[in-house]
Amino acid sequence: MGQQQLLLLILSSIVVSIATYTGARLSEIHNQEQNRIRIQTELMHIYINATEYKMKPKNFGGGSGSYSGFELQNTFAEEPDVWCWVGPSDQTLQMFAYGTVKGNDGRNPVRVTFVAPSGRLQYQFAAAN
Amino acid sequence: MGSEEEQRNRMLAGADHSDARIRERNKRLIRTIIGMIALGGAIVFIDNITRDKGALVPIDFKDQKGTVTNWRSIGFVKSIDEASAEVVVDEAEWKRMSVGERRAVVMLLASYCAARNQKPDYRLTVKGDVSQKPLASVDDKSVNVD
Repeated sequence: MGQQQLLLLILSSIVVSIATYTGARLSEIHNQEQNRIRIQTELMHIYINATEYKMKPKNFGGGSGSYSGFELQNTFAEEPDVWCWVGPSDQTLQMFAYGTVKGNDGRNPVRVTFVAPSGRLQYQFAAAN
Repeated sequence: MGSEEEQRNRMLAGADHSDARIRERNKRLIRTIIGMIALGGAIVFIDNITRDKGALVPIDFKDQKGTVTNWRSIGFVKSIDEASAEVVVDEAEWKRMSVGERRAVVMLLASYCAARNQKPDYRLTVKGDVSQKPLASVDDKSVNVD
């Protein structure tokens, strides 16, 4: 094999390695985003449930205008690929969830936080990994 | 005799020309591949530089006490007063965190303090170790995370 062919072979191998790395990285980013969207959807469902709880009077098992006492329903607590934690405190609702795909640090799973502040209609999601 | 020699010379010249073209083509190919490697290398380099650093501190909501103990051992939490729910954290580390991670930290600390105090409502004040200014707070009405 001539020197030029050998050089071409080595260079082509490097190009293929870089292409493989780029492909794997793009796939990783896509998976993380999909997992975050999945978690956000789950948190939205919980938020709707929490709001329903807040609006119900205490006699009907609600919070009478407060999130206090709200707990995750079994259907959410038993999700196999999303783990949620809810922190209700009277007029605000905080939630934290993590998924199954490894997040930006490459070690811990994807994490998403949710805050529904009082007196505002907006809720906020933020990626924590 | 003379014409045979001329024909041979023409054939040799043609072969030389063909060899030169192949060499030129290979050089072009190598230059192109080197260009592609440079571009790929640049993409990998930029991707690694601009890549989100991710989580700076470990968070495990299932083991909140263990997580807080771990934060104390790595120096992220400087002091914690469970009774008044006041926590002093490493300000430099706090500033490096994403908003999402800060919120997660605040939630865990608020939950930890509420569990320790055996109170259902979450209250928390997070202060910086250098400036002693409040960095985050949680009460009945609001969650403020800077």
